This record gives sequence, structure tokens and C-alpha cells, in this order.
Amino acid sequence: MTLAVGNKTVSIHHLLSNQLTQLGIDPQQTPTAEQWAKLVSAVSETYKRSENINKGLQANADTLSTRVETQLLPGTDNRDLLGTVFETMGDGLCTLNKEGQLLLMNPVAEKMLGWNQNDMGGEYILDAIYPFGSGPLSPTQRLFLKLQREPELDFPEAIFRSSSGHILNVSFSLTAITHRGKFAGAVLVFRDISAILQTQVELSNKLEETLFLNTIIETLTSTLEINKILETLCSELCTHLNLPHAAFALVEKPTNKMKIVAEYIADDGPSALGEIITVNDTDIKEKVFNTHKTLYVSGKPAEEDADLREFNLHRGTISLMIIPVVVRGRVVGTLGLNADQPRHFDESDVDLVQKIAAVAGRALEHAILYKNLKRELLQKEKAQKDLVIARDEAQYANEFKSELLAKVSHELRTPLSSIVGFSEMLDMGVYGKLDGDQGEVMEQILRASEYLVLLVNDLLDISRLEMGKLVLAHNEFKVQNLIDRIERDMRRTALKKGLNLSVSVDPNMPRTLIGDIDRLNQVLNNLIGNAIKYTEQGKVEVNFKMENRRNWSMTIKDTGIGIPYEIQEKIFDHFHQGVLENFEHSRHGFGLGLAIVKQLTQLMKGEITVDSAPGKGSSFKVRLPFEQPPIPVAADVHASAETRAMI
Amino acid sequence: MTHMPDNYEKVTPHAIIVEDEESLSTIFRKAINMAGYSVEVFANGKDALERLEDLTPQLLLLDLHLPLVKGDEIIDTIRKNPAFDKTRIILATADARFGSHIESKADLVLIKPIRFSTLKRLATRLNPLTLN
Repeated sequence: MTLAVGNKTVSIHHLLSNQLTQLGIDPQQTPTAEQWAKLVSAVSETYKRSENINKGLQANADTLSTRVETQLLPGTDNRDLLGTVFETMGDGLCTLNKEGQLLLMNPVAEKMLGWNQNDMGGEYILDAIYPFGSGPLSPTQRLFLKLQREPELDFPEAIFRSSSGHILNVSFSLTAITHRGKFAGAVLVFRDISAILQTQVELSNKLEETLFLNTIIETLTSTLEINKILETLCSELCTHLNLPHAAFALVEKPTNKMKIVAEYIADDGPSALGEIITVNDTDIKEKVFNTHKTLYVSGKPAEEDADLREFNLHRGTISLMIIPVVVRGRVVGTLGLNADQPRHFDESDVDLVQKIAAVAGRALEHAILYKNLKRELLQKEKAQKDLVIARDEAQYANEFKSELLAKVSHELRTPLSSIVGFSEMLDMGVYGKLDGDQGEVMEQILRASEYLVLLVNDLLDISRLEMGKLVLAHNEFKVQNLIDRIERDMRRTALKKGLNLSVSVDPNMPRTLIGDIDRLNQVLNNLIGNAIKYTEQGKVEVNFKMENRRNWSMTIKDTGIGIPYEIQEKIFDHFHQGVLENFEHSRHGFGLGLAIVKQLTQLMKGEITVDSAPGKGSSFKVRLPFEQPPIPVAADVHASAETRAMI
Repeated sequence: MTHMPDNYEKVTPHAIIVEDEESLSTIFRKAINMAGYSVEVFANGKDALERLEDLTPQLLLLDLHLPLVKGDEIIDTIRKNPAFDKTRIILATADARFGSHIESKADLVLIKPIRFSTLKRLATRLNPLTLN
């Protein structure tokens, strides 16, 4: 069984195993292997024991044969010794003469057979205790005839009959006694093997049970549909115990009622599948729930048993067993076995059924774990999908925004060209000299137009920076050219406000640098423009410095109003509302310019920092990586670059 | 040189402006005129190309996005003809994204909005009479 997760196919067993292992539960149901090992060792032990018994019997027989031989020898009296052997032997022992008549039997033999020496002396004891077989010969005749051909007869498993007629499971051997080459009699040594046989039967049952559990566990691991598993358990149980009906009922939440979810019905019995049982309604179930113990009612007519009445109404149940199904210490359901005839459930039945219920409990636990796992996986999958969708949407929205900015910026340029062009023509007197206030108005229009151009350019820059479409030039330029541009672009603005604009260059600063002079100029213009804008009196200082071997910097310092501490970190965010709302002087678009400066600085692999004290002034520092120009050559500023900067 | 007057170096230089936006062509015409050129204006690339078969201007001011024939196509066409070797080309575009891409094709690339004074100054600088 596999579960498709995304485009991957993952084995559920694998997933489940992992999950179970993580939870400290062994998913492989190792008890099976253990049971097997125990069983195999027990069986092998039994065989060894049987072998030992036979060997022991043989040894005893051999010893006695020698003793008896000695006893029969003339002139030798070993009666005392023999008596001791007789007394101390753990096995039953009889000595027979050559006709098969009993000579002696030891106390063990007397006890086991229920005969005593006095009663049986001279009797054909084998005919009495081993009265089996057919044909004209008696048991004694048959065995003695055989014994004369084979000096030793072994019967590992045989049945003797006691004086009271009880059957004894024995292992016996019959050994011939020869005297001077002639057959003189026999020694019979036997041992009660009832206990061993019992063990063997038990082992055989155990084996059967283990095989049965094994089948069930195999079913468990091959399918995870819980109802199917429970159904299999019911069916196997009924077959195994020869019952007509078995059913699993599980507690349903939130009603706390039980529902029959799986069953097995022999023949055409009525189905109880889907039936709802209120736990309180049936005392027997309630007992099972409260005690966690198996309850079974055997062989009583239903009328006499209050617990059974309810069930009897449905299906004529006579014998019943209700076993709790426990998951993590809680009864989650019951396994019920019903018989329509008096049925005795012995201990091994109960034991087996309880094991099955335990298996069912584990199966349920697995199923619950699996269900949870599956739900978790689905949730995870959904969350991932949602994230991807959200990300795509955000990306799309961002791309759309950037595209829109670029488009708007582009579309604004043509009408702006007209406004700027005509304004300037009027201002320059191309269409005649302006009178009175007309010149001042014209200048206002021009300033507004220039600001508009700046905004349009900023919009385009932001969109290109965000789309990653802004490519920096990588050219050698003279630092002096950058300074000249500052003078050209900003000097007049500073002077208009009565501010002193000074530019200083650190003596260690190289004369040439590598980079994008236009973009550096843009960064400087933005920062110097801001400094002038927010400074009413005092000065604006620009300093170029070689920080160390790897970095150079541009610092723009003013004696202006400074930046409130709470917004110092936010001033580089474009469109930051907080900045625009709180910073009273920012009505001329503080946000975009600094955002572009920051992004350009980052694109140049540099960084910008601000140090400002409200009321005292601000200092912006742009640190940039230094790249050594290959060979100092005369700078040739491309005309186009220059003109672009002038616009 | 067949289209050129013999006294090419001495007479008023000629400029051709190709710009579909009328208000802009008005500004361009005035700026270039004030820079000492005689000026002809065409509103689409096709008309301009036809005129360029008969005449070799000293200055060609083109918009990039033009109806019928695009500005860069006009440049490609005349650059193949050695007769235009001395023609200075100014490309005006509102599309800043293409600025660097076509920079190499023109002598100057101006990104709109173009200041009147800037255009006048540049055109003056490119005027052969002024240069001499």
C-alpha cells in the first residue's frame, strides 16, 4: 500500500515504521519471532528429554539385566544389593522369567500399576498391563517371541493399563536376560510419560496458536484498513474456536456510544454491522469498560442471565465472551464472541482471545497513528502548497508593481518632456521676455517639473532595482570627475539656502576608481540633496576617504534638524508611511531617494549607515569596496554618460 | 557626396528631426534651430527614410519609438551608407531601459524628458561650423 505525497510515492509501511520508531513502538511486532524462538527451543527440549528418558531406561535395563544375571548365577547372593536398586530406582521395574511370569516388581512399578508383588507374582503381568494387539498370541507371547530375536525392545510411547483400568502413558523397554547363551527371562523398565505428552500437546497447541497469531499479524502488516483487519481477526477467531459470530465494537466520539465496525458471521446469521450500542444499556459491556477485564458467560440459558438477555434478544446468544480492546491503557472498544449453543470457554480460549484483542488494540493504535500521520502529511502538504501559492502571488504582485512602475515612469516621460521643454523655452525668453511675476511663476513651474522628473526617474530606478534589471557600469573614473559633478549639481542649491558645501578628499584616496560614476553621482546627489533640504543653517560636508585597503567611503554630514531616533532605521524603507507621516519635513518624498540609495549601495556590494542626533545634524556614510584600477590612464568620460548626468 | 553642396563646410548645417509627438518636435526644432541648423521634421520613420535618400543631414535627431519604421532601423540603414559617415546622430527615447542597449548606435542617447537648454547646447557642440 502506498500513499502519494506530492509527486513522490512513499511506502506507508516505511512512513509508519519511521513514525512508530520515533514513538518508541516497535512496528515489526517482534513478539512473533520471540514466540517462534521459544517454541522451537521448547520443542527441541522435549525431544531431548524424550531421548534422555529412553537412554535412562536403557541404562537401567542394562544395569538390572546384569544384576539379575548375577542373581541367577548359582552360589551368588546379591539379594540385598538388588533390593536397594529396586528401592532407589525412579522407574518402574519388573523381572520376568523366561515364560514371562512376574518374578519381582519394585515399589515404583507397584505404585504406577496399582498391582503388588503378592498379587502378580507368577502372573503374566504383560498380559494385564499391556493388553493390546490382536491375533492368537497373548501380549506376553508376542513380546517374548520378538525378544528372542532382538535382545532389546524399546517402546518410546505406549499405553499401560493399571489395575483400576486407568490408562498410563509410558515409555518402556524390555530386555532379554540370557544365561550361558540361553534365554532366561526379561527385565521390564517403564516410566510415566503423561506429563511429557501433556507438554507436547500444549506445545502443539501453542504452535498452532502462534501460527494463527502469525497469520493475523501478517494480515495486520499487509493492510492498514482497520476494519478489514478487525474483520480478519473475527473470521480467524470464529474459525479457530468454531463460533458462529464475533464482532468488534468501537467507541465513537463524541457520542461515546459503541458501533459495531467489523464482524464475522458463520452461515447466514443476522448481521449486527453498524449497530449502535449504548454502553450503559448493557451491563456486561459496562463491566468490561470499568474493569478492563474479560467477561465470559458460558453455557447458561439466556433467560437466567440478566447480562445475556439483551444479546439474546438479537441473536439467541447462549454463551458470550466480551473482551476489552485497549489502546494505551484505555478501553476503546470490545471484542465480542457469541455462541448460540452452550459453549465452554476454557482458559486457553480466553487467553487466545485476549491475545487477539491485544493484537486488535495494537492494530487500532497503528491505525490511529497512521491516520494522524496521514493527516499531518496532508496538512504539511497543504501548508506547503499554500505557501507556494502565496509566494507566487506575492512575486506576481511585486513583478506587476515593478512593471507598472516602469511603464508609468516611461509613459510620464513624453508629457514631461513637453512641460520641461516649453517651460524652459518660456523661461529662456524664446517666446519673448517674461514680465513681472511671470519669471518667478516660470521658475516655480520648472522646479516642480524638475522634481517630477526626479520622481519619475526614482520610480524607474526602484522598479529596475526590484526586478534586478539595473546593471551597474564597471568603468574606471576619476574621483575629481565625481567631485566636479557635485559642484555642478549641488553647489547652486546650497548657495541658494546660504549653506556652505565643502568637499574634502583624504590624501590616501586614489585618483581613479572603478565603478559606475553615474550611479555614485546619483547616490551623492540624493544624500547631499537631503542634507541641504533638512539644514537651515550651517554647512554640508562631503568627505572621500580610504577606510582601509579594501574599502573607501563617502560621508555626507550636515548641521540640520537630524532624524528622530525612532525612525532612523526606517528611513531606508521606500514608501514607509511612518517616515512620511512623522517626519514633518519629508513632504518632498524622503522615502524613495534613500531607498534607492540603499539599494544602489547594496548593488555595489557596499553599505550605508546613518548617525544622527535630532537638532544637531545627520551623517550618512557609504562604504564601498575598493577595486584597484589596472593602470592609471587619462580618464575619458564618455559623452553620453556625461549628458545623461546632466539631464 | 552627391547630395552635398560644394561649400558644405561653410553653409548652414542641416538637421532632420524624426519625432511623432508634435509638442516635442516643436521644442526640438526650436532648440536645434537655435543651435544654428536648418531643420526639417518628420513624424514617422518611413517619410524620414525617403527624405534621407535625397539628402545627407549634418544632424539626425530620432525618437526610438516611431510609427512605420523604428528609430534604430533608420540608424541601421544609414550606417551602412558611407555617405552618412559625417552625420551625427542623437537618439531620444523615453525608454530608459533601452538606453544603454542602443548607446553604441548613436553619437548621443538622450533620455526623455530632454531639457531644452541641454539639447541646444549639445546640438551647438555638434555643429561643424561651431566646431571649426
